[in-house]
Amino acid sequence: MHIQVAAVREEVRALLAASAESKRKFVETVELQIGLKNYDPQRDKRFSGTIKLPHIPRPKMTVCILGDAHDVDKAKAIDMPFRSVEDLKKMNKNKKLIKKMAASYDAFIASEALIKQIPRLLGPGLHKAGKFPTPRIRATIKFQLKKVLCLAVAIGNVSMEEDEVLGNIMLAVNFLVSLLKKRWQNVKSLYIKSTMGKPHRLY
Amino acid sequence: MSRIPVTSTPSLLPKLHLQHSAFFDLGSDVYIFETLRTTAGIAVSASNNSIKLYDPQTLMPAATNTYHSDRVTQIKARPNMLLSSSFDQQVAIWDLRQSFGRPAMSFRANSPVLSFDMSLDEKMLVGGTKLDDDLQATVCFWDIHAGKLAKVFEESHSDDITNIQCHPGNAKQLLSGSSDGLVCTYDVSQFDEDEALQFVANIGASVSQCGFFGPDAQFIYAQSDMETLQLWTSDATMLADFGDVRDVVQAGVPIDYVIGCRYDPVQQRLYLLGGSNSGDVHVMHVGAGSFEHVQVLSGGHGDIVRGFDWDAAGGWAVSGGEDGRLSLWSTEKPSTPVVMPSRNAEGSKKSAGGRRFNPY
Repeated sequence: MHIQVAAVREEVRALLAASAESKRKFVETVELQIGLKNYDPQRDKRFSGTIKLPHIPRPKMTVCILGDAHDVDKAKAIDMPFRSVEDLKKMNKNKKLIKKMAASYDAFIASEALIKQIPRLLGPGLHKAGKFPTPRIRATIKFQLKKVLCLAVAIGNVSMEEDEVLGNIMLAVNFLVSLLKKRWQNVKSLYIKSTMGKPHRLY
Repeated sequence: MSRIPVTSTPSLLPKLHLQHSAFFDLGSDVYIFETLRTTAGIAVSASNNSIKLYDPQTLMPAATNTYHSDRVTQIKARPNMLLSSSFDQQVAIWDLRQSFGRPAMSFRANSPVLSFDMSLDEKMLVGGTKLDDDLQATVCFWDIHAGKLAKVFEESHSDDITNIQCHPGNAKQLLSGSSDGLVCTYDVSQFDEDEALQFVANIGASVSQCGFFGPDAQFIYAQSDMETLQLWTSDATMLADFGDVRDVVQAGVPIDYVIGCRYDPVQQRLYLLGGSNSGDVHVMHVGAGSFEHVQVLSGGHGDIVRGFDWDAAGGWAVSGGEDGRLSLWSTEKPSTPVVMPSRNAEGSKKSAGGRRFNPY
């Protein structure tokens, strides 16, 4: 085993304890940092994507529902922000209005049927913000490796339970390593770190 | 047990045998990106920014060009033409009836061009760029006859545009795929980005390869860097989500990565090519919810396979990979077994397809 769950759990515990002690005014993100070796960014695959994690790292995401009358009623019932098809039509593909709406929410949810209409209703207005709607909230996080040999992924935050942070770390590590041609031989180091805290080495 | 049902159906296609193998640049660690059949032989793009043309029967190199000053990102073929795009911000059109030194035409973008295609009527060239420092990723439209840039779309993607394909049946339609996870279709009868955007499929992970397929090109396949595969209708209804296709390892198909999808218009079948790190190519027929493993091509490579051009109906294929080898396959059994020289072979050792070349 390259990393032992028990050893990782200890580091997670230490990281969460250190964060609790320092009492920040914001919820610190927990980041996984993977240092790579023997990795040729030109030869090896373009390394960017999203991972689906078992525990959502951003529970306080603001979500807006885009929908027909039926979806809008459901949104009202659970007190969620929404825009109806009529609301979207009224925007008249006005770029400023659409960008403002895009900036106001972390994500947009819409039914598959409505998603098909989005290009006709809004044009590419939501694309630049990376907020094209999905049918469900996806508990995914983005990772990207472009020029440098270190992959950094936000896998949780300090308000999560120890088990949840641990679960996310193990899943993310195994998944990312599986995408490397030489698997663990391409991994130089593994650290976890909270936003303001010190790095804790896992490998 | 694999999540994706896999059955073995070798009878789906006649077996492809290795005919010839050659090194792109024996003695160096230059490796191959793409291999493509053209009307003037096999075109091969490599990691040293060059493109070579090879005799399709003997794999003897016929011509080389070093026009591009940076990575060659894509090559495509049309009758008597080869087209290439590059990190050097150009798309070049080569007339294969002329000398291979300079392109017949070249077009410029403001950033590295990652992908491109030519419209059905050969009037328009479309390119997709890398995300630049101003966070713009651009779809560029060049008017070939006028020789210049006609239009740019800058709103549709928020990351590198890794794929462009013009619709095989309609000169005004095309698709783009991006690292932002979106596949967009356009109809440029109206050359305004807001009006041209037709449908958007949110793949959920950075798109590595995508394209139209089907007898009327009414479907789209989309692969991601996470080795996932999804099938969609061209009006953005998802038909199948296979997830991570390396799952087939559980069914006894030992693949490490996806080489690509290839559509056979004669039998109207979509195939998925999966590769092993040791150079095997597994050919699988993609069904609505399952795969049929057809055959494995072994012995052609010793490392990751990157390029694969295939005429399924014609029983012919050419592959290239990170071992720097170019391999030719056909349904004819070779008369003598193919012997490869070792990578560090010096001098004039002769073996099938391994003769040292004279640079053009």
